[in-house]
Amino acid sequence: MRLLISTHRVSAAILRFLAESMPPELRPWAEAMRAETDFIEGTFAPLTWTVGSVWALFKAAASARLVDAGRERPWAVRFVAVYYAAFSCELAAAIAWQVVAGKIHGPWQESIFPLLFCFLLVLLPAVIAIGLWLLDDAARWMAIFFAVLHAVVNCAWISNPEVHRSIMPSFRIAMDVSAIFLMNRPAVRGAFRDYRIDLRLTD
Amino acid sequence: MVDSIRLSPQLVSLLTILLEKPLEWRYGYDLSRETDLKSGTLYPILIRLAQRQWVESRWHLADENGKPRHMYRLTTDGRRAAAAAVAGRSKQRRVLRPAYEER
Repeated sequence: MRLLISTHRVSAAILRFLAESMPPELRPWAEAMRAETDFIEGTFAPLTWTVGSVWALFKAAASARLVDAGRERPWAVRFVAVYYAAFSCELAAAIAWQVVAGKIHGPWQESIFPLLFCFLLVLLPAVIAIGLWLLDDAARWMAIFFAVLHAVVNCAWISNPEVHRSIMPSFRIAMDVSAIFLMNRPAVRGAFRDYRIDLRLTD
Repeated sequence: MVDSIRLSPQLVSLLTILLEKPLEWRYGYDLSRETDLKSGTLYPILIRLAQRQWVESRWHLADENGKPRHMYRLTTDGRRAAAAAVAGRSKQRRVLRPAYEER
């Protein structure tokens, strides 16, 4: 009996949390799914119901975003998104080349986790690019933060007299400064602010 | 947008159940049991149907404890569209089945 009560409570708590985190248009759906958990019979059935509901909500949120992403976005957003995607690909290719060319020395047990960490790290610009493409304002802020961080690292690199001189760090700093400038243009900020999900629930 | 909807077997199953008693309001969990669809399949379909205004919904106090539940039923347009969709699907099956069975 105790387990029965707890699975219902856990399910309701998860869906209540999700309802609060969802965009306003999806909240009634999350509430509707949560309300049903009180009436589901069985010990594990509420949990199964909750897993399905979480999937349904994320699917609805994602598809609404993709539909919304079909609208026109400023050229500056496209430019920065493409740059970040290309940057991510370049870094991933560099790591892959290191692996393929046998540049990684030492036992694989020791190198596998740093390699996986590096791969996850190089995915960050790609994730920002996807967020920018979907006109997610959090991605705009992440893009600015990433550009500042990246520019600072490259400035430190250039200022070190012992490293090999190349044009790339200067080019990257220029791109970072451009990204910061472009992401703060009023037209770009406006495009992100206009973002909304159009899902109706008759009540 | 309103008329284009992919007629998956799950959607047809839900529409068939909703068409059985078209004026009756149904709970999500009851629909899930009757159609044998999991919530992860049922709700995306209900959301799509609500977007196209085939389905209307309302809150209802389900028991003496006053716990609210969400109920669904087909709209007038939804009934017409669902009947056409289910009939079209049945016709398609009748056409396809003999060809399949000849194999």
